[in-house]
Amino acid sequence: MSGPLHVPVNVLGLVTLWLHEQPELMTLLDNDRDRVVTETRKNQTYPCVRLTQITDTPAGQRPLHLVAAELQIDAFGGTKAQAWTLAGTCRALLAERLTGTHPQGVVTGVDTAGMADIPDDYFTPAKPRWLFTATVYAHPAAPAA
Amino acid sequence: MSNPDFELNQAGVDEFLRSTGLRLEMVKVGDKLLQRVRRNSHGLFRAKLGRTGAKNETIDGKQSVVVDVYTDDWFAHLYEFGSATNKPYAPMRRAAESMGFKVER
Repeated sequence: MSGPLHVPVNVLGLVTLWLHEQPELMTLLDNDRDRVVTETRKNQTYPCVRLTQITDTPAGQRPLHLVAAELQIDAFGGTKAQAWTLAGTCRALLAERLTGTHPQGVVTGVDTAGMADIPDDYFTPAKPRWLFTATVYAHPAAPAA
Repeated sequence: MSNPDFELNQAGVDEFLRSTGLRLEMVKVGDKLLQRVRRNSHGLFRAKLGRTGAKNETIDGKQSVVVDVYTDDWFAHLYEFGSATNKPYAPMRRAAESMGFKVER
């Protein structure tokens, strides 16, 4: 059976582009959009924020309309204090401002979790990092038929 | 019509939580979770994964049946949360959420 195809929202893309537009965060990062990324580069400039989508759970089947996307947000220093400020700012932005209509879709709610101090000991000395996860509920702008 | 009052039979709940059948079921859930963590980890810490038996514990003042799925791999935090040079594989969180559990942090 054919019919309209319901493609869910690319939540990772939506949140990343939205964070690029948030002045409180971008001021902390010298207005450098290359410091809010989904992939760190070989010559990555720090401090920076990286977003990763862990899971994307549909709220129901047919149509695939609303999804709950689990994101991990890593804030790397710089110093530990810079990493904390970045993570805290991102979490406040997501919790207080993300819900609403965006060009890529509609965010109906956000649950943020606690921040964790997990330095990246792949580096010597360990690179400061604070991280948290957030569940973002989103659906496409046009309602499913 | 107002809702009828009822009193929870806590003794009955406690007895159910101590039952062998429930503990066996919880062990099955632990095995399933372990299997999914193994599958998600793509061999990263395959040899150092395990689970405990079912045990009764009091959590936030309530009796519970608990099975711990664990790893003692030294680099587990890097597999789970990633590093600046590697993205988080999150094998444990993906496994738990794929089974419908809400991961609390």
